[in-house]
Amino acid sequence: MSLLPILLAAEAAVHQQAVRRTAYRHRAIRDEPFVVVVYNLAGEAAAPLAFLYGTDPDAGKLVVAPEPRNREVRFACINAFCADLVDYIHPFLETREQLVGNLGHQYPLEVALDAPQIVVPNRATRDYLGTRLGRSLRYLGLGKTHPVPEATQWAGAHLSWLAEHARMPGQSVFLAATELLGRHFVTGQSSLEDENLATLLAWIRNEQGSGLGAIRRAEDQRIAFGPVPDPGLDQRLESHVQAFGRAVRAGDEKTQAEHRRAVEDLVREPLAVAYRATHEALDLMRPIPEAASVDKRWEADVREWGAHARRCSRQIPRFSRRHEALRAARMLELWSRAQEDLEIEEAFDDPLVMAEFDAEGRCVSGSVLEVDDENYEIKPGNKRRSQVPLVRLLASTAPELLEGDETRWTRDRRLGGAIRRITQTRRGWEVEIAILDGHNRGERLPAERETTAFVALSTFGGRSPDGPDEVPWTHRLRRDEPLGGDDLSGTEEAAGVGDAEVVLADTEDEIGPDLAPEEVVAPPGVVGRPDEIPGVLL
Amino acid sequence: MARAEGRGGAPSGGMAAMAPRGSAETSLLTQVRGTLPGGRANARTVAALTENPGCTRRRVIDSAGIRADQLAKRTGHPTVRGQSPFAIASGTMFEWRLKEGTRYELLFEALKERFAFDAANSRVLDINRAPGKVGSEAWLIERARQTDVALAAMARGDSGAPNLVDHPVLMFDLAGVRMYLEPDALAFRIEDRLEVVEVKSYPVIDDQADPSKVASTAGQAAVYVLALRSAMERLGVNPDLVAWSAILIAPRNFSRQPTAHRIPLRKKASAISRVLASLPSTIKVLATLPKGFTLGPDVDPKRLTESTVQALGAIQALYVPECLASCDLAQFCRAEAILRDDVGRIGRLARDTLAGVASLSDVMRLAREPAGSGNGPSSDIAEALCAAGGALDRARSAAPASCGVNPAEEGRGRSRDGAGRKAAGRRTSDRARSTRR
Repeated sequence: MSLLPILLAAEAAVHQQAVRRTAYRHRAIRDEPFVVVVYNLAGEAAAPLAFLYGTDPDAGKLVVAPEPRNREVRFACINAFCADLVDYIHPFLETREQLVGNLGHQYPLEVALDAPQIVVPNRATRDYLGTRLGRSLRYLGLGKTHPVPEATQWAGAHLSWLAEHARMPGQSVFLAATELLGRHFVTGQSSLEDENLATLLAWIRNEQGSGLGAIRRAEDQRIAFGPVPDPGLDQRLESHVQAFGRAVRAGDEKTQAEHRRAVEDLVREPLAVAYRATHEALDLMRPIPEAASVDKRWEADVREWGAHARRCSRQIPRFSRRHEALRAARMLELWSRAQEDLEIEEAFDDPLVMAEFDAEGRCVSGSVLEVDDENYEIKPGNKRRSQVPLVRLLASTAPELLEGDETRWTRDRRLGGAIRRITQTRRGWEVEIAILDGHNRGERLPAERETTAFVALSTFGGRSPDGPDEVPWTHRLRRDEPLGGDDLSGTEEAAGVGDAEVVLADTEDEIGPDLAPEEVVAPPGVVGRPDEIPGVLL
Repeated sequence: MARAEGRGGAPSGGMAAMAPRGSAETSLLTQVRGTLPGGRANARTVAALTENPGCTRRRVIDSAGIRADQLAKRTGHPTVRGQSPFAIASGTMFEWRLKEGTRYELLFEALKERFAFDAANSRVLDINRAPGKVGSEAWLIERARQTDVALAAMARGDSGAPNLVDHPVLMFDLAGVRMYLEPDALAFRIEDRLEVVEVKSYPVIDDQADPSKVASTAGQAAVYVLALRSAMERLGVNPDLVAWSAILIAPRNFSRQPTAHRIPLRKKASAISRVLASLPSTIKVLATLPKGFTLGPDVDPKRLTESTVQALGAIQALYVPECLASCDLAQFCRAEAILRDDVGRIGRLARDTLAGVASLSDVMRLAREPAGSGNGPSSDIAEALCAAGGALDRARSAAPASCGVNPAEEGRGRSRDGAGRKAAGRRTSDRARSTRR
């Protein structure tokens, strides 16, 4: 592992200010991303108490469910949010027919023109919106589920797509501010603590050497930036939530309005802080010059979005509960390949990212002593001699690469060469690199006396040994061996239910939490006192 | 589930008391506790301890039965932890519906769905009905006794033995100190195996739950399994009767309907028991402390913070940021780590990788020193740090000025090193001052 991130963290800790991890910005930031902050009722899987969202940093829209355990109240809030989310997303569903594919294998396809961008404060919010809320809305409208407007069903589909796309390394469609900032800055605290957007921003904003006071204050505010509840705020909310619930059952609209206002007043400020902080994170990122490969990755995002848009042009897309084995294997391969590509693209785009490989001893760097572009050799496998320019470097440190290692030029990854010879002279270590490809007839080469580097870094590039319709052994389910003790055979996972045919065996548990009337009237007495166990937080 | 949310399901607060066996040990632990209120450790603190077994401070606190939150308050670094009333309500409701609310019907139904649990012949024993003052030590011990009686009957396969024991109390030895643990339920299954049942209120959506929460449950349940096995040994029964797993009962998808899943625990339990076995006995640890040592000094309230901090300083801590999630004293330890410029403050990985490097200022210094100048045990780390420092300098000089990667105030190389030294100097004098005070 490279020590560079640790060194940067030490630098940040000693200077009491975050330092840059990258020289460039490696994610796309669109002009008006849709920022969402959400507060979920503690102890419930998907019962949002409030959303604050919008594209305007100064004017987010607040919707609340003063008693999210009541189905009508909860869905009123969810529906309002979903309607606005769909309003934002639907213009991006516009497609246009274009010729795609490689030359000679071109075919017309409806492609999306642009993709939406949704930004949330932290990873927890992203998971909540995608895999919790999105999942809970996904099957509404099918079977005996709670009736909801079509926009809510659309939102369920979009959130489900976003949840899956968020796993694609390097994507910019569904961003978490902490992850975004964490990629580009290093603080003097742990990555665990960096998940708090308030302290992360405080580290970046802190004046060098001004102490940790501002950072501690940001942490002590204990503002809930995500779906994870803030017990203090919950304690203040509780009486209003209960009173609102009673007023709903009594049909007392005046009291309802009163407590709705009280809940709104309590959550508005904390959510607004998180909303502004998320926009602030974007404002910090925007001026950083964009890395060269960002455009390419955004285009890939738009291409993927286009596939979703095509499904949307027919009907509301449905998603399976879990991937069946073949799809799971293929997605895993896709994601790991994207991860590998991302690491390499970022390194060639950005000297600071490349420095991590340099610190690991995977680079040979130094000043160019001589470039011999008159050298001709018979390359392996060839019969005729061809141009093999030789670059001689005076290495700045003892090279850790070996003779024969394949390298690429850090300035232009098209240029590749093998280390021919490493010699120790009076002047220091001299490294000769034979340029084997990408020099464009000697046109693309380092200049003499230039300080530059070559890196041993390339994608594995292998293909999956399995055919496109073959489930690799890693994903085959052995029927005789129950998974984690549970027998899955016979369930829909084993049966491989595809997206089109979703079976809702039991719709009761799709509708979400709701208190039975008798439970509301007589909640069980709380036995024991709340958290008195030292050192417990789950 | 109560314990899932850190809330007591039973009037005892879901905690387990520690009772050392010998009177000499008792007096030593009481002395360490001093004026601090007595607290109790539970399965989760045992599991947490095994995650950071090198932390002597935490173990002394746990062994002496000290409320870490109270101790933290005295150091001036209180932990603001709380429990959302909504989480408590939802957790209580779920457990109540499973047990009292439906006369265990719902719990049986969930167990029956996936496991061969004989619901028709269910015999439930609620140990909470044991006589005694609720919440008292005597009551706890009586419950532990009743649990033993029930376990023996279940193990023998008596026809009238209960097959579900609610609110049992298990005894567990942690490094020579006895603790009482309270699992949610024990079920006796047809296949002649004893199972631990854990009720949690986090949802299992599409047969998947939050991995970190399941991991935490597994740690807790593994301690129960170990306690149950040692109970079997104590009762002279084959411990293999106890399954190396626990049954998790949690809400299914978005509903309040329960679902049951098995969590395999063999690896987790062996890991925990290995760590516990290698822990030196608590009494030995306490013996290394100065005579008359106490964490709860009986002094003038004005001097309380100072004396407490001083006492804590005598016991070695092993701070890593993960502590913040599980230990009430973590805020104090973090402040201390920052004051000492400790490497662990930036993460466990840094602490492990930089073994032998004392401070972050040293990290900075080593990164700027010419390679090969150090020859201590950490010279390979010094070399690697130097390579990283060189790579960073090369990269920063290659990055265009418009990228703004260089802190404006300073150049590269020596001047940055100077700044680091200055900061280090300031730190040292801070520390000197604080010890003088």
